[in-house]
Amino acid sequence: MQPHNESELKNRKVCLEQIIRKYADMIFRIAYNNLGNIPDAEDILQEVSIALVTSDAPNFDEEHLRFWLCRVTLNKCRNHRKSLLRHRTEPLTEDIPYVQNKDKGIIEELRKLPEKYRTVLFLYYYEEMTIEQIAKVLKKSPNTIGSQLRRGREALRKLLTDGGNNYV
Amino acid sequence: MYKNLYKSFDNISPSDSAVEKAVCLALNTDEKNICKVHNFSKRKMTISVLAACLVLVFVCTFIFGLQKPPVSGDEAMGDNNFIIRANAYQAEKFNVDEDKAVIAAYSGILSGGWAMYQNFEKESEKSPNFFQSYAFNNFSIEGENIESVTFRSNAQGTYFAVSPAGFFVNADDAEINRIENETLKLLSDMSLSNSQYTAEELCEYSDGLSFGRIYCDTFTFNNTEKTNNINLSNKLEFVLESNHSDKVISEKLDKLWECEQKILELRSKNTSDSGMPSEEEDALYRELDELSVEIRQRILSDSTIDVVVKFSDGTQQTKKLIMGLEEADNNTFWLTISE
Repeated sequence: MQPHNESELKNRKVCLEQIIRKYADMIFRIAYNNLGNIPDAEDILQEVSIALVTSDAPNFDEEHLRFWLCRVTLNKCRNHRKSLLRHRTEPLTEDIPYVQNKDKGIIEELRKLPEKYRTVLFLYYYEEMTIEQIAKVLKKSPNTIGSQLRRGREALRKLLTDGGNNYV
Repeated sequence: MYKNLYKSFDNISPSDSAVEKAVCLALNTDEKNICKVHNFSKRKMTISVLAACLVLVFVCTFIFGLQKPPVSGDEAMGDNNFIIRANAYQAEKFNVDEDKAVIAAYSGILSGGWAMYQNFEKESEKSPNFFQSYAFNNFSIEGENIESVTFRSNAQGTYFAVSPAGFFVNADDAEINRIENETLKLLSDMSLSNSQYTAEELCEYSDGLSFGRIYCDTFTFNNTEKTNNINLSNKLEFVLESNHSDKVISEKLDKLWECEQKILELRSKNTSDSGMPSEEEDALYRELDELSVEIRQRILSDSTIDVVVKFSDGTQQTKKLIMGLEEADNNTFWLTISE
């Protein structure tokens, strides 16, 4: 829905800004969990912001908006991985957030899981979504999500307790 | 335990500059879009009105057009009738080759994806098998006085995964055990002959399909609630399985397997750098997608589903569904009723 006067235009701008600031962390973390590096995750944040503008998503209710943003972020990550045109390097700067060594180890272990388990586990435990909500985001049946969650936990348990890396 | 692990992500946030950049990009893009819309709004309005009139004319012609002959079943029909609806669209009879554009309205009928792929390599077979499962979106059978609905898949390599427990929302161990036990009780009642494997094998080795599901070629839902709208969206999935006796599929499966192995090999080399896939990997991903579409199209080419509805007066009616894959979008299926 397009704004027709100055006041509506201003409201819309405020709304867009609020949405992006509110969900920037979530979008970034999903992208980081998926792609594994910060510059790419920030690229995804920009792309999702643009996608937000060209859609009706700002008019959605909160739950629907959240699912939409998750879905778009995951799709963008998928496209990012498949894209031929991605050749960029990012020089190290002081803006890159510092990750403590212990946390980095855990995150690296988590990234060793297959993508389908990683995404489902992240959405369930970190974003605290229900199975039904994850199924809507990933467009799969709830039973598939349940199965992937169960197998993901088994794989994660094995990963974290094998080789002496006893994070459990 | 798992929640605590993910607390590590609390330390991961975008930089302030990245967030500001995202906000600026969004606001600039929005301004440009609004200008474009205002400049073309009048022209768009005229075109919209014209299009709306044409659609209205078409709809009126269609409604008052030729009567369709009733679909004949192999049993007495009576006055009872039922319709099949998927993703808000009613499945009707169209000429598949000529009216494809109309059938495209059924996009999104099924959603699903990869499952049980690499876990099923048997010793007696050289290459693994291909499985994909699809859930019917907003799938319902509508009609009055329906006693039961039976689905029957008629082709080798196509069958159903039925979830008698339906939806579930939490995944704690107690709930998982309950659902698995309920499902196992019903397993022995269902036959499965369209698969190369037994139902027990599928449950044991599958990745993503075994939980709370039963595999079968035919099943019946009893309309115990006596509703005129039987919603099966969360209870029914359609499974496509490769058949090694089909040489064409067998060759494609071998290529698919090689493709996957190469991707895994390249991935393991690339993870030490930025993690971005190389051009070679991207090309392999594209090949993987193309092979997957070709295999699905081939499995679906002979597939039909009989839908048999029994009514309370003892009569019965059958409709035969056929499905296919949209060429332009390999994740879109179409659905229609065959002759």
